[in-house]
Amino acid sequence: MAVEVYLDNAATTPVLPAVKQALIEVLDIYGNPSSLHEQGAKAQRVLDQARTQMQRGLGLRTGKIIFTGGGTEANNTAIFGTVARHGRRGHHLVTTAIEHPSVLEAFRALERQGWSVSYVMPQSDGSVEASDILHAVTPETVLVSMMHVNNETGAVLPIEEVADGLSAFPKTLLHVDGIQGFGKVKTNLHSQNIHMYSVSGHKLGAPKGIGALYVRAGLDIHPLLYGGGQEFGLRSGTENIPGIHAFAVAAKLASDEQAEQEKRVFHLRTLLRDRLKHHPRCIVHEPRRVSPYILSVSFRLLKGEVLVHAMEMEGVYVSTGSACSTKGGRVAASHVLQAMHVSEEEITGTLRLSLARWTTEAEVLHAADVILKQVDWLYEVGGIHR
Amino acid sequence: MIEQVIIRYGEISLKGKNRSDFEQRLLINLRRAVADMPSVRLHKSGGRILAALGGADLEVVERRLTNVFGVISLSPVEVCPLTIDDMTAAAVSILRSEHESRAATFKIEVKRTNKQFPLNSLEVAAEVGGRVLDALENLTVNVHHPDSTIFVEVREDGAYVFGTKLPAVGGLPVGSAGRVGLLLSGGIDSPVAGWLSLKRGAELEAIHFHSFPFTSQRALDKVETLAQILANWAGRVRLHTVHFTDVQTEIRKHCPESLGITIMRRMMVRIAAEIARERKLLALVTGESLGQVASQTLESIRTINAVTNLPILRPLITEDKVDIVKRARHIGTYETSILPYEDCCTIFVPKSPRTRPRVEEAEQAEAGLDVSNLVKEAVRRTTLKTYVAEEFVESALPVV
Repeated sequence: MAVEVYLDNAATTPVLPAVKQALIEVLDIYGNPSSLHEQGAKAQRVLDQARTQMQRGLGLRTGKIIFTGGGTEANNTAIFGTVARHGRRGHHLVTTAIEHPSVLEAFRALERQGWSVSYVMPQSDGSVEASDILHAVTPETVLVSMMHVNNETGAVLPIEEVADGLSAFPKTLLHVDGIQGFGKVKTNLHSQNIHMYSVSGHKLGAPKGIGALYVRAGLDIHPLLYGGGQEFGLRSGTENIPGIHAFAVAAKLASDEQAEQEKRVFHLRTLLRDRLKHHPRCIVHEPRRVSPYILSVSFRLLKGEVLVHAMEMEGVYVSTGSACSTKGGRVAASHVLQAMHVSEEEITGTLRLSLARWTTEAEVLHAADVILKQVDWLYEVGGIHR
Repeated sequence: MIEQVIIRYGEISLKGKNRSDFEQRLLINLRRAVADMPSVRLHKSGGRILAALGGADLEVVERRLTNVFGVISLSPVEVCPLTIDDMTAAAVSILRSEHESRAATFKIEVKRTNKQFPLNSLEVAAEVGGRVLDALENLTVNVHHPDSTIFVEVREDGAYVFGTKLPAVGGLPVGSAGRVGLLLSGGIDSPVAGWLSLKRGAELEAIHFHSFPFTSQRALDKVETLAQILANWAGRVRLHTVHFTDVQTEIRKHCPESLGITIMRRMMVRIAAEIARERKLLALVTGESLGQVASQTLESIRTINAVTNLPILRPLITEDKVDIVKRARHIGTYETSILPYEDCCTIFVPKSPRTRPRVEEAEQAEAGLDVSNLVKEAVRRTTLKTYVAEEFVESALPVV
């Protein structure tokens, strides 16, 4: 087998060696933090330390970090928890049309319960205007939920501008889905009017099944799960100490290097993009502000799934437009690209390449070669010429 | 207490001197279906098979046995001593469980093989019927259209009393009709076609065409799951996976796009026929249904069929899609078949496939292909896996 290059880091990442080591060590600390004896206390110390580390990673000194069973749970807790606690403030909610299903489907569920929801449309480049979001907000708006970085196009959404603009609506809360943003693009939460921020471990080199929700100091929301009252009463259940520790370690590694890596990976993305753009049939989806970690390209007339397998033959792992959406037994066309009014033909041939902090220049160059070679092979087999 | 189940097999009894072979085959298949329940004993008994439960769960045994091809119906039986009192008690207990205390009509039907028994059939029916009427308030007799019929069989070893007949899957025992090769895709139709040929007693070897990267590994996993589901019905199914990528790319390179699908199907049949020759399969089976897609018009079927003289069975040829779907759900393959992985064997959707390709056109279009070498190479790179019924997985067999 040729060299393997994994460029599907927006779907999930391998567990980093340092995280794996930390995970193995912490497995011996088996106590329940709620137990009064020393075994419990040891676990409590791991938990406290992890919480502090997460807080620092997010650049915060105040507020609560609630560990959850993953990003989806963090998003659901933020949305349903806010509506349950502050639902009497109004009957209106705002989100964007390009959110991840863990946000979008939560709002659809609320709509079925009688809430009025505005879905703000993106520009044709995949970005979303802060003014469009703010225009949708009314004094009746209880919650605005928007993503920091779009998982399909890499578009960076203007969370700071929206937060500033919302100061005119003191009763409206802002939740940001930061799952593709945290540790990757600059995240500055303490200076802003951002009330909640969701993060996920397995996008940063921690294992699956651990996420967290930041809740600003003084903000009260309702939990999804009731029980022993762990995690400030917002997420009952004995804490996943190994997962939490691993997440904190991975988050620290990411945030320590965030600024330099953002620059370095930006260069890799440009390199990859320019190589691919060279192909006459390649279309790049390039949002105005974009995360260096995600590149969305399309090869017209080709089928995404076939493209993925053709790359896989050569050891390069990428993803189609969106990783995990199937509906009624058919792969559903990406709702993000549809909202951007990308043509059906172009959506079908879309590949998402997603980089990681540890992706190297050699890997990117190799991947570009493989992609171009396989794309040409497919066009040739299909009798379509460059 | 129900301690016995009568198992009836209809068509087998028509089979003249082959009859005992068929019965033996059915008995083997039935024993396999309850192999994990050692207390269940099966034996032939006068034109049917009796299962003695030996304490096994009646519902589970019923569910397993009704799904064995060749069985037309089952009846759980009360076996009692040869007295009118005992026969009446058995009949009353069955009627009570069927109707509780609601009003209903019944009749008693008696068969007497034990000629030593002092009363004849009509007399037994009258005696038992009369006492049942006395015992159960809301019941009346109706000999023409009864709600329930109670069968009493007066035998040497006791009286067999039973009510409802449970319909079973029917057909002929698997292994009684020779071996066939099923062209198995990941779709809805071909597993149903395979199931129907199992039902008529054929043994199945599935042949799947895998064209990575044009079809995915997950599509292959799906086909393997389908082979397992068919094996749960059949006892055993073999799966040949043909490496088809090179054939597909050669077709794309050398043949006109409008005939691509026709030629692809012709190549599949050629390869399957070659596998059939090696494996001594007597026919091929496909899930084709007339007019369903472009490659399933009569013209197209004829053009595809022209590459072999092996019989190609098409059990679904006149079926509507809705009926095929219904059957797929019943067999338990539907949920797997609709998983959304690329398995349609097309790299691109052809712009204008020919719906009525002629044989000569196809032959001409294939002129640039090295057909015999492609077939040889594809067969050489074919892998074989065997799937055996998962005896202990209850859910593997849906209730008929």
